[in-house]
Amino acid sequence: MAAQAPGPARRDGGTPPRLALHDVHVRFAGGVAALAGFTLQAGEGDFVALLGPSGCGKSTVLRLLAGLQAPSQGTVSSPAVAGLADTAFVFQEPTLMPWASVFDNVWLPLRLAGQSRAQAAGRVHELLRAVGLADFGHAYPAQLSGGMKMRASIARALVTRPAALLMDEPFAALDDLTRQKLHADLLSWWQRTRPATLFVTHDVAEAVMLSHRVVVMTPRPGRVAAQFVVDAPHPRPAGFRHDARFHALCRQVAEALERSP
Amino acid sequence: MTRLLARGGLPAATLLALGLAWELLVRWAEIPAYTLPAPSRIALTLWQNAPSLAASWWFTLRITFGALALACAGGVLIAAAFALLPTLERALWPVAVVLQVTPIVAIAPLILIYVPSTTAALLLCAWIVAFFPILSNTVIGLRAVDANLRDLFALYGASPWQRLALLRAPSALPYFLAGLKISGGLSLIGAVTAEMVAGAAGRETGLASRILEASFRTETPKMFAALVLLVLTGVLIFALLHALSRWWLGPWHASESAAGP
Repeated sequence: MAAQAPGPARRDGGTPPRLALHDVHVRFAGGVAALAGFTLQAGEGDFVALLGPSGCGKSTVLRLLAGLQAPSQGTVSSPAVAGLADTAFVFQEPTLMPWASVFDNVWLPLRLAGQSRAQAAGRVHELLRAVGLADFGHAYPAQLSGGMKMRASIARALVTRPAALLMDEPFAALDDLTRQKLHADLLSWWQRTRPATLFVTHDVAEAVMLSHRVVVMTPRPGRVAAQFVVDAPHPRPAGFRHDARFHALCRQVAEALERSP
Repeated sequence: MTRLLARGGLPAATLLALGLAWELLVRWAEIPAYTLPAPSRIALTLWQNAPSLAASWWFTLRITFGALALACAGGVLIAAAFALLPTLERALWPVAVVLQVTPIVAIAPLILIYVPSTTAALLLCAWIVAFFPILSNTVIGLRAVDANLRDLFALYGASPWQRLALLRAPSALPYFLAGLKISGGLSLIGAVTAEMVAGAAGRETGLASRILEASFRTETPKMFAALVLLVLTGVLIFALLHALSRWWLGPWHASESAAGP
C-alpha cells in the first residue's frame, strides 16, 4: 500500500477497511456474470482508482459498495451496506435536481438527514466557497457549465463529511482543461477529510494522477488483473503530470490493461 | 421592438382583417342577420343583452373552473394514490379508461337523472371529461424519475414521504402542467356539452342553454354573441394556463426556458 501522507486524519487508524469486497460474484438474470471473484479493500485515507475496459463491472463494484445492489456470492462491507448514511456517490452525470437551486442541491443530503435550511446554511456555504460556486447558490443547474455542475455535484457529495466516497467516472464528459483543473481541486478538497475513496475511470492518466493505488480489472466477468502503488506525494506536486515517473507508471498501467485477457 | 410587434401585431392584424372581410361580405351580399349576422350586429346584440348574457357567462365560468379545480384535485390525488399503491392502480385504471372513452353526450342524460342537482350533474360531466389528461400525465410524471437521483435518495436513506415531496412530485410537475393545459380546454367543452344535454331547463342557465334557446327562436345574432363569449373563455383559459406553466417551470425546465414560438 502507498505510504500515507501524514495529515490530520479525522478518525484514528487501526480500524478495519471501510470499503471491502471479498471474493464477490455478481450474476445477472440470464446468466451474464458481471464480477467473478473480485476482491478489493480501501481504508480511511486511501484513494483507490479502479481502471478497466468498458463493461468490466466497474460500476457494479460501486453499486455493491453503495448498497444499491447485492452480490450473488461473497461479502461486501461498507458504511452504506451497514445501513449508515455515511457514503457519498458521484455519478458520471452531475445528477443535480433541475428544479432546485445549486444551494438546495448541495443542501439535499443534510435535508434528508433532517437538517433545516438554517441549520445547514453554514456548511452548504462553506462547500460552495470551497468548490468555487459561492456566487451561484441561487442559480439553477441549467445555467451552469458542465464543469460547474460537476463541482456542485462534488460539493453535495462532500457536504456530509462522508467516511466513504464512491465516484463513477465523474469527469468523463468534461473537456481536458476542465478535467485537469478538477483533478487538482478534487485532491485538495479530498485532503480535508480523507474519506476512503474508490474512483472508477477508464482513463489511465487520470487514475495515476489522482490515486494512491491503481487497481486494473479484467474484461467481464471482472476480477483484479494487477495493482500498482503510485509512490508519489499526495496531493500531487505541480508538474507531476510532466514527471518521468508519472509517464513510466502510466505506461506500466496501460500495458497491464492491454495484457489483461 | 420589431419582434414584439411581429409577435403580437401579426395575429391581431389577421383577426381584424378577417372580421372586416366578414362585415363587408355580409353588407355587400345583403345576407340577412338570421342567416349570418355581421360582426357589428353581433357586437350590438352583445351590448343589448349584456346583463342576461353576463349572468349566463358567469354560470358557465363557474362550472368550467369548478370542474377544472376538481379535475386537478382528483387527478393529482388519484395519481399519488396510484404511485404509492400499485395494486390500486391495476384495480382502478380500467375504470378511469372506461370513463375517458365513453362519449360524455351519451352518459350525460343518465347523470342528469341520477344526480338531483343540475349544477352538480353539470360539474360531474365536465369533471369526467377533464380529469383524465391530468391523471394520466401525472401518473407518467411520478414514474419518470431520474434513475441516478432515485439511487441518491436511497443512498441517503430518504423516507417514502421525502421521496414523494422532494423527488417524485417535482419530477412530475412538467407532466402535470402539460396535462392541465389539455384539461383546461376539455373542462369548457365538458361544461358546454353537458349544458346542451341538460337543455334550457332550470332557473340558472349557462351560455350553451342560451345558444339552444336562441336557436329555437332563430335569434342567430344572439347565438353568435354567446359563441363569442365561449371563444373568449377558451382563449382566456389557454392564456392563463400557459402563463402558469411559464411562471412555474421557466427557470429550470427545457420546455419553458427555451425560446418559445
